[in-house]
Amino acid sequence: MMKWIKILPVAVLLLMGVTVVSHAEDKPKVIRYGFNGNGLGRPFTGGVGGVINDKNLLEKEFAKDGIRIEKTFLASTGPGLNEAFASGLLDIAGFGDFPNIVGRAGGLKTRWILVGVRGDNSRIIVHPESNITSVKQLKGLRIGVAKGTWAQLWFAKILVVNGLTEKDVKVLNLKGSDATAAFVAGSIDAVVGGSLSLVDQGLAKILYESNKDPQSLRGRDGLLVTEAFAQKYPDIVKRIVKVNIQAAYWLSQPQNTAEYLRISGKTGGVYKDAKKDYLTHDLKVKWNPRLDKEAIDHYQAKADFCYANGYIRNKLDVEKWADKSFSEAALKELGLENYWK
Amino acid sequence: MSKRNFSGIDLKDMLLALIVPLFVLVLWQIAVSLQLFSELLLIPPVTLVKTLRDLAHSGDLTVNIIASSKRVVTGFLIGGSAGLILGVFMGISSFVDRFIGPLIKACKHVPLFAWMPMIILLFGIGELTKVVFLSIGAFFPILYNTYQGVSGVPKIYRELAQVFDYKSYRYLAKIIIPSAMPSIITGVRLSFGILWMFLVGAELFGSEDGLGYMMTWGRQLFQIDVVMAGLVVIGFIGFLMNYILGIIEKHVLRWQLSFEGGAL
Repeated sequence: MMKWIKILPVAVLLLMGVTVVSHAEDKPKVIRYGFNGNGLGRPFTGGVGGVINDKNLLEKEFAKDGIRIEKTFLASTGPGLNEAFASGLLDIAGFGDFPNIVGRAGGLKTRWILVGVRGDNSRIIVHPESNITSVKQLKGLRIGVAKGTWAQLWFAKILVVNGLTEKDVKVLNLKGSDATAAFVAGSIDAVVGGSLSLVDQGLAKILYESNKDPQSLRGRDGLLVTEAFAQKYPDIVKRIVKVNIQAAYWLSQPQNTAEYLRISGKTGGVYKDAKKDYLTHDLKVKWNPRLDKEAIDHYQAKADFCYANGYIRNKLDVEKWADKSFSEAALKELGLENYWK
Repeated sequence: MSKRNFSGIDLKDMLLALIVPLFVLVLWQIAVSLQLFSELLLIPPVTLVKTLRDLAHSGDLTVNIIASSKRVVTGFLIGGSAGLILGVFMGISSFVDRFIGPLIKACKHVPLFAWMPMIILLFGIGELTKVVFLSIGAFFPILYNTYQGVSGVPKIYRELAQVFDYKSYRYLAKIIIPSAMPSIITGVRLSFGILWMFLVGAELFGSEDGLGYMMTWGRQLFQIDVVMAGLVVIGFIGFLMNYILGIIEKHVLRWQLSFEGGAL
């Protein structure tokens, strides 16, 4: 009997294919990098991750070390990346603020090492013939939202500003093409973060957009690394952060806008006013990667909002979660420590 | 002689049936203790119990069970009735069988989830879509088993009906339905089993409530304990429903058991 008790865990380990990773190596064979992905399931994304992916910046950085880059793009976006972290399938990933916070509050052993984007724009679209002119009028209506993503948190905060909560509307979990199909079929009254190509085609109009909102209301994302990977390969993490900062710097230069829009357009979100919309942002602010006080306070306020509204069950101390060491070192090495203050 | 409880279920069988779940529970706890999987994914049994208690206290569980049960029962009544009626007609009329049978048999092989895009296109993503989806799930097992039962009614019973000069209603009520009842009840049990299995899929699209919705929402919020709680509740309700249907089956078919010399 004792023999069986000893054998059983080993057998289960073998059956489940658990990989025992050697702790003696000073560099990994592979870096498992999660990108935000998109609801359409295409291997493209926008923002800093989009530039890194399109220009193969990580591959170029680690080619001389023989480190392979394993890229993951999930149609399930942020919530899916949290699951991948929990399953031990990822070392590092950049994704939206809401799943960032939900994952950490749920017990994922991660460190927040960089800001991805500050204040991305989002919108609520309604039917062209709709009489709805304000967010308040959404009360009682059916709204398509990709639940668990940053768009849901953005919408929840916009509702609160307008005197409503998620309980006052019928929030349906729909993303990407499902939301578009349901909207066009007339099954829902509005879509949060809806496709602007629908607006171009005259199939929708914009009810609300966040361009003029204060930063506190807007969506953001962050780069997370697992505790284990950061402890084991701190130099590698610093180099990854460096690549991210280089991409952020490139994005902050207005002359790169046209090329960036070509990159982000690969996700399928092409629309005619993309450039006009993008240039409403202060690019230097938008792509500031620094984990400064404003960034930490912003995430803390969102984490507190999530706790107060029951999205997370544990309070989150963002100051303890954030690790500025990699970004500050990388900024210094790149001579950009005074570019973003 | 083994002891039997009020419903005729053997107590020894019940104890025997508990062995595997207990074994799974022990394996589960061992896996958690040895940290074979992340505790975030394979939550400890104690956490699951606490989550179930919290969900019950908050009222969420009741609301979602009621919402899901309504969908399952509605889907069963619509799909099951259609399956029963069509199954009887196909069983007693070779013309109907030849006329509509090939189409029905072809459709039977289409996986339930393959219907979903078509259903969404036709009915949108509202409550009707879920009910239609579940109705299709209920339709085929009852249709198929009713058809088998009715077409398999022994010739001697049919001749008996002719001797007694039974007209259509009495022929159905006295001969066809009672004879086909064991097969129909098998269809009902299969149908309920399928409906609870596909409930999560039905509630995946644009739901606001229900156990499937609760599980999806738990997943989005990285609350795997809520997902597992949903699994346990669905499994338990499915088991309970099968158990109750078993009792009803024994009650309805008691004449057959007596006739065949079976003990109640």
